[in-house]
Amino acid sequence: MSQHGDVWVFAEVDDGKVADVSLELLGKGRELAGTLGVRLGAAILGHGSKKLAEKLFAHGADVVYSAEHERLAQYTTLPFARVLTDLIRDKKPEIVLYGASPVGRDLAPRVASSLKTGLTADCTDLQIGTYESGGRLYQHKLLQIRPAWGGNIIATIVSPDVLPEMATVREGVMHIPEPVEGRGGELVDVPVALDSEGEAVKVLERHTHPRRVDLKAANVIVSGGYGVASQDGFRLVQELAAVLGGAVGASRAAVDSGVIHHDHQVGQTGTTVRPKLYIACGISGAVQHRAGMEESAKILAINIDPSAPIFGIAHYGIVGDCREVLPRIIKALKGKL
Amino acid sequence: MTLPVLLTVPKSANSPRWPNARLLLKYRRARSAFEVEGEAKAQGRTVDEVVGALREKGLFVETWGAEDIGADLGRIGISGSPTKVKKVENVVLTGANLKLFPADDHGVRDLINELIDERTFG
Repeated sequence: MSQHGDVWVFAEVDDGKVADVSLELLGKGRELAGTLGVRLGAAILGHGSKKLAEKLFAHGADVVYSAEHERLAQYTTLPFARVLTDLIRDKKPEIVLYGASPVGRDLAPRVASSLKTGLTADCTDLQIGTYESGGRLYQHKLLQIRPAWGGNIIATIVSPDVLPEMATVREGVMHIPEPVEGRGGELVDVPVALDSEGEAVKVLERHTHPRRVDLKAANVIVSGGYGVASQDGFRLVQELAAVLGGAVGASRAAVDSGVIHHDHQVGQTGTTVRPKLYIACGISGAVQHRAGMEESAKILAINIDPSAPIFGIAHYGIVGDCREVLPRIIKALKGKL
Repeated sequence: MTLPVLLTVPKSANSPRWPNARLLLKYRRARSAFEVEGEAKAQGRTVDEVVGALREKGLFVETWGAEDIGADLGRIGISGSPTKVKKVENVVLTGANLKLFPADDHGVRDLINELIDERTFG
């Protein structure tokens, strides 16, 4: 018997499927569980979600805790928090990971608060390591790593004295490892007793809007930032993307200015992408933006400011005004491709 | 449904309206407890007098501290946080061996040729 509790992933169900971010977390969770020498668990709450257990096993879970109840068919805060909190109290995992999705961001703080434990939001990396404080050495702690203070620092955060250690991780930050089809595991049925407390709110109707753009699947992304945050400026970004058959991305500055929808935002509060080519137009490259694109295979930066941080991670650069440079690129490409 | 109920919305839920100029002018003179102390001293009045006058005009901004809401002092602030910062590092840009091209037609053409040659395009 290990001295540590297991590593868990909250398996989010999105439209009858396991959300990508949960599969990404299973990949990371597998690593952490291996380091600690414990099992990887997945908690899945729903109504008819039990059949997704196979998928969770294939992606690395050793144990799947399945809570089935009609009131868990769709996510609502209180029933989910109640069931998950009780399950954590009962099974005592060491670590619980959540996707930093709207659901994870709603659920994780409430569970942390009920359990009086810590939670680090929007982690970009997770490791197992040591922590020293007041002459005391804590071993095998979850190092929760994330950019902080809106700026150029990376903080490593620990929860030394409380369990479980909990973190949310943004979608796209971790890789989904190849699933092992037919890989089995232990399926545990979780008894669910929900009283009327969970009925504070009811889902009456549910509408889904398809995303306007699939940035994660794009080979080429042309992104615009503050330097092109006007209707005319952004039209050039869109035109270049069209010529290259790529998708249109944006920095937060461009989204905030209203020239493009948030679905296009790349970065810490948008989508994390890894295209073959990322073209950053008029984007200074704040750490929050870089966190969402720095693993692109090739980065081309076009910016009027030669000292913009984006040039620090770019492979190719042009120092110049996008409103002049982009038309030249578009014209040259139209002659070539 | 029982009230009160707590609702949160994403950033995109609404665009804030412009501030109302008349209200801006009116509430320019609003004060919180922290601000009143210094001002009362300067005016040679007691804090209670100043607060009373502000309250009458609807210009006193209530401040609730930890004691006012009965918070457990052992569970708030940095000492009460279950999470601790182990270390903070400056982000070191990895440096991708940046290759700069001039912003003119020549530079643009060279850049495109290079991207085609290394099969990033096509």
